[in-house]
Amino acid sequence: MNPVTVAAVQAAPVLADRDATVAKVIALAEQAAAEGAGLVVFPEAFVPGYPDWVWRSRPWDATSAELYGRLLDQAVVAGSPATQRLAETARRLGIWLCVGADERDEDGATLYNSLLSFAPDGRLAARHRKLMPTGAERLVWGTGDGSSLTVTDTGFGRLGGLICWENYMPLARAALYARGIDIYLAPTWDNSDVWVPTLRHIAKEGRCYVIGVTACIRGCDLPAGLPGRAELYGGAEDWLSRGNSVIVGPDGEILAGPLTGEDGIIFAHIDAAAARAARQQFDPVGHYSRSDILRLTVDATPRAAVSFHRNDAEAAPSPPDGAEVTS
Amino acid sequence: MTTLRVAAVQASYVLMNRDATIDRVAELTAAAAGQRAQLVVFPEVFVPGTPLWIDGHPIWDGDEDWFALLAENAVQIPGPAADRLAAIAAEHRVWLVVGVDEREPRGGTIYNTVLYFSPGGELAGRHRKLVPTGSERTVWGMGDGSTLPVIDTGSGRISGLICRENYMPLARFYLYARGVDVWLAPTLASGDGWIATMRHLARENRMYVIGVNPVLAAGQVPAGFPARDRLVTAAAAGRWPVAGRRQHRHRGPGRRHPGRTGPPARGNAGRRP
Repeated sequence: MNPVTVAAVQAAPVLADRDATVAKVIALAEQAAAEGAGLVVFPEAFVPGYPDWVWRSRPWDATSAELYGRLLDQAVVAGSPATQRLAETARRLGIWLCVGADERDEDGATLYNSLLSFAPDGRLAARHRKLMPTGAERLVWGTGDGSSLTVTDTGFGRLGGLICWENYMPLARAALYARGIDIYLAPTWDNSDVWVPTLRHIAKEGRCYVIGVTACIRGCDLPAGLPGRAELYGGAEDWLSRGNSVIVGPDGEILAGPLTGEDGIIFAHIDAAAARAARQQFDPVGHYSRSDILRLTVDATPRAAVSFHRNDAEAAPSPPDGAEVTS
Repeated sequence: MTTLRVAAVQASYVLMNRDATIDRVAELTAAAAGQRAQLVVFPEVFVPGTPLWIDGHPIWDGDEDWFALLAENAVQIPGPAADRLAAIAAEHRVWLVVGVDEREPRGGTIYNTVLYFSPGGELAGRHRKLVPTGSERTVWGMGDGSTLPVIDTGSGRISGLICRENYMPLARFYLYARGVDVWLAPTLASGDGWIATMRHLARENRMYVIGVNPVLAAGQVPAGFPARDRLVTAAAAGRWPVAGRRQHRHRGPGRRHPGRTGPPARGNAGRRP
């Protein structure tokens, strides 16, 4: 297992503008990679941005509908040119690139709050869809299923994570611990002072590295054409998110950050072997569990709302040529 | 739901002296009740104290006398020590929660246990730590699923876990599912990492959390304690609760107290995730 330099990028997206935000991700990833980062992490729903308006507007008024339509149009689809650009960036820079996205299926109109992880060989190696949006977020995002509670081997440690308040779901965390997570990503929109203690707790609970990464964005960062901009947002004094990015070691110690009130990239040099060794002290799914009393079962089956089934053996014989078919 | 005035008692025990330590519990409970506390919480294994030697001294290498003292001074249930604790709760009409080194009346295994006494003087609940930590495994056995109580005080449901048990996600989840409002975390852990955990738990389940630690200076180890100098040296190299610190209750943004938890910010920033 090789040590690696990890980077958390605190920045502002170009809200609801996918291509401009992807360009920003590429530029910032290049900057982080130039500093030696082998893993570069971006905030929750960074492409094309966190739909902050859900906290400021009435759910079903015209502005909200217009913003939802804009977000749907600008959302990220796996396998589309947008993810191809991100994958190509990971490949070109030789990095693991993890980016929060407003994501949807190609033919779907429901958005998911997803964390996409691109490998240095240019694969989309993992996609986690947030299991449970919080409060007003439920107006724009659906719920992911257990199939995306995955942990991916990187060569420098096992990588996974949860998004924002999912990190308060003890069973979801336990599932990732059981998959052997060493490097735990926690993209968030949470600016509160309890957030950093939460990440320190998770690091100690899972004896893993935790990378918290938060957007930093103000009213003046919003594009002029954003629907409802004038009625919902102010200027430089109007913080949508102050940022809160922090990197924590497996004993709960802060390695970098927290960074608030400014853009920046924070770095830490980490060694997953140290996280595993720290589990001598505590292993929540091993020697410090009591499987005779408490066991967790995770349904990791993909749960599509509709599945199509066709059994050709049961199909009626085709009508003879020229016969009229009525129904 | 009525309010509940709670107290965490950070104090020293009389090391491996059960009866003298229970005298301290009596005094300190009286003091807390005198300040109108209705729930009084003492630290992990407060009666008769922490087996201080386990981290700073090789196991089974001259620790027999110390372990014998621990066994002799452990609290038995039922037994006179438990009866005294129950009487203290009844005398002051408080919920009294005390960490004890517990031993079965005819058993040789000691458990890291928390006892819950009601204001009526009943033993309302008992929790034996499920997994001792590291060297603790050489002095304490493991509890089972029958001692994970959640107790309704009439002013909120109380429960909790001991020290590093607080890092067990499934144990916490089980107790959350049973509706705990006030979480008690007696511990020997200190430092700001522990405070971070207390704050995390409060927010994870939107409940009050009471962390409580002992405090002990080397000079408080009783004169005449077996191999006293060696114990103090060993303890200083390992665990020593002298750095114990009180953890005031951390109020999560609970159901009864909605409000901001973040730094002030214009607009909505900070109030929500």
